[in-house]
Amino acid sequence: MKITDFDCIIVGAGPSGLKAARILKDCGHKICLLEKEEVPGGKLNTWHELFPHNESAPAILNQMISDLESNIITSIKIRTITRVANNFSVTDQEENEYRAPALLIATGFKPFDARIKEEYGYGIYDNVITSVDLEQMFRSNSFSTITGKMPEKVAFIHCVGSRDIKVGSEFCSANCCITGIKQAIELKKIYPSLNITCLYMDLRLGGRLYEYCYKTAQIDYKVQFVRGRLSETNENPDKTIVLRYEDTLAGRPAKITVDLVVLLVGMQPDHSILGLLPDIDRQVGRDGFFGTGKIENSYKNAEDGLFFAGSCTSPKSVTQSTDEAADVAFRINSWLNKKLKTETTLLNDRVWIQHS
Amino acid sequence: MTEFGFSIHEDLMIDQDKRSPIWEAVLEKVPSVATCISCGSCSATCISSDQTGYGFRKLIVLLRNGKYKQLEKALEYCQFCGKCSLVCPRGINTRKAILEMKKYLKVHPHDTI
Amino acid sequence: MTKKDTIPIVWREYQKEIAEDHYYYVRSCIRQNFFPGAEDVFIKIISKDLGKDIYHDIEHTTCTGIGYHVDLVKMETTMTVIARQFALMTEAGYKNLLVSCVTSFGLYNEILDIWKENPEVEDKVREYLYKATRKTFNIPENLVHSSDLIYKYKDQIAAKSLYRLINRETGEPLRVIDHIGCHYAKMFPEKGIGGAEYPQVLTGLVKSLGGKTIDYPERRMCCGFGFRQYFLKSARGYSLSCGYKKFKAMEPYKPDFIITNCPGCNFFFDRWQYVISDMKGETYGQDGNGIPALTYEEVAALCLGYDPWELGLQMHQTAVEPVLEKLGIKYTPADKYKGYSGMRLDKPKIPELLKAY
Repeated sequence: MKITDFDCIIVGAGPSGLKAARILKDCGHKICLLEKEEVPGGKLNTWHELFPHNESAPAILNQMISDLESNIITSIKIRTITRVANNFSVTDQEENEYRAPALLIATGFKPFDARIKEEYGYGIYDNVITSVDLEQMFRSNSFSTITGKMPEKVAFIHCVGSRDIKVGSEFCSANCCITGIKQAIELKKIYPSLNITCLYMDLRLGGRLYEYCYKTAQIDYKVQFVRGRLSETNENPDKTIVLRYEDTLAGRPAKITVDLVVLLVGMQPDHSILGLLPDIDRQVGRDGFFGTGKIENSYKNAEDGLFFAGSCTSPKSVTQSTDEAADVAFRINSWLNKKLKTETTLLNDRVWIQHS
Repeated sequence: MTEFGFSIHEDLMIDQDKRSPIWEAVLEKVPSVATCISCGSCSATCISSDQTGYGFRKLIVLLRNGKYKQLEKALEYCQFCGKCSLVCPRGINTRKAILEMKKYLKVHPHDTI
Repeated sequence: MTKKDTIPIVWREYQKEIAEDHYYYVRSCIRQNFFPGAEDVFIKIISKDLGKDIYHDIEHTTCTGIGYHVDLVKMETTMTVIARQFALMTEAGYKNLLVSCVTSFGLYNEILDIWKENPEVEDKVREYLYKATRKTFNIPENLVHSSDLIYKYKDQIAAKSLYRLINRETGEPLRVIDHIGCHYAKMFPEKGIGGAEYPQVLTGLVKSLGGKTIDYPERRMCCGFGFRQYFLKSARGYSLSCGYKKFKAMEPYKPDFIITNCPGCNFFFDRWQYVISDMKGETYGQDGNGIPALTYEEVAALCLGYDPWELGLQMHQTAVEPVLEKLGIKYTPADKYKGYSGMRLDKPKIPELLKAY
């Protein structure tokens, strides 16, 4: 039962947690970085290459960890979070207690569980996988269908678990379209004779150089983009998958048989930190992410020391998460400085009164 | 055969598993056609489209989905004014695309269904 | 997820409430005429083999579902006729309604939904019924289809059955295509077991009897009955094209028979195979025998050991003898065209391509 005091506790050692920790350390504060998995990095451990330049994810992660040069406490299961005097008190499964005046929640997101979308056949048919599974295949360099045969035709399905009232999440995850294009290009680079079709509702490519990737995919890699949402998947006797969709531009229903279907799953809010402190639960917005999304909040400092950063506040890419983490880290820094100055001023007043 | 008074209708569903090679053939000669996003700027400015309803966007859609008999008829209407290529945001060489389509359909008439 | 209370339903595991006992049975128009043995044997199974109380009334009429769907009968008339059915049920002292036809089931659910959303319509219908017949009615507490009841007692039926759905020669489970009527779950998914995407009502029965259902690409397609298309000859081609598409999709899987719960679907799968063999020269199933289409009552009864000709299987146009052979059921071919009183019935004309016995 060890009690340690810090200036700021950061929950979650993903890209945003690591960036905020580094900035706060450089500003001179004592930080404590808690991570629930055995290794830090969050979802960066599951990606192979990041868009838009196809930079290697493990290399970026190693860079961020070595920049930090500090201890990350891993395999932590948080049992309680309470407020004690002016501090937050966080206890883990071994009854160690961490105390600090500021708490930063950087718990990230979780990918949509495609089993809920039953009509797409994930978990029912063998040759339906998600983009997360495909990324694992890239990392381990073993790409084939379940039956072991090399696929010749692959289909990417956009908007799985996003913009869909039937699964309960209506927001756009903003990063799946470019993920699909990136993975399609990667597949074509390894196997140039593959025939890839992408079925989309709308293509949302807002970031820098995303449109360039799209055009490259169309011309250089000959990926077919069809506007029409997938309605259901079915299986043939030889385990190939039949897709039914409407080619909305042609105005007629269509079907296509493919060997492998990749579902581009959206980003869902991760609620594993809820139920511990009512102040955190109160911050959940109407779409499940933390915070309200108002612009004025960026200029106001938190009243009570509770901060949120990264993809737990909205779907974000790695660069967007680290940008927000840097912004929040500086706000934490100025808040901590103001708090310490206030305490010192109060102390001085008391001394003055005593002397008079 | 018994006279039933009704018959089995042809399926209207596009079967992407049976496609004619014309799409790949045209794509090889005019690679920029692959970048069409069906924005419709071409049909809006086309001088034939308000008389016939066929603009360049429609031609690409017919080409992609195998409606080649309609495509053959639609290709007759182009007057080669070049307005569509002026306005296309993707920079497609529309004149070359139409000429390649006409050439292919002349050489391979049996592909039209 | 947005809100905690709107967690999407996993349809594959959805179950609905089915009452235990004391049913008022309403029959179907088509099933009584085209497959006459089916409803009789259902009543026998429920009352004798399972020992439940099921009441079949001679006073009840058609629900006018066919008339309603082809725009011959007005909505108010349909609602009054259905109110009369409920009144007969109330007078007989029952609270649970057991419906034989899937179209009726869909129609009853639709009307109960209309009455729930617009109570003034219900009051008006009560007034109409009272003026016409001096009857009053109560809304049934539990409204289920007869295939739901068979699903509920499938384990007891399987325990009592003499035959299992296993091929005698090879020992493999029989390959069964299950087809659910559209009006069963597509209109109100929460009124069907397994919803509309993964209906379990016939799969469950087949599995407990030892068979295997096949998942094929056109599984959820309509058979094409559709009332309005079918009734006019000029539009009948649409119905046939739907059925044709289904047959072409199930053929590569080599099914042994089709099991349905809707009388219209059963009628179509049974009768269209001759028409297709004449128009297109194609037959399905092994050796040009066609794929037999059986109802769930007939399947349950065959496994329990009832005689095939008493069930009325000779009225099926597509030959059922291959399935009887595979199951190993003893039957006398000579008795096929003998009527109830022992009189010889006419034999049908044997078609050119589709085999008949």
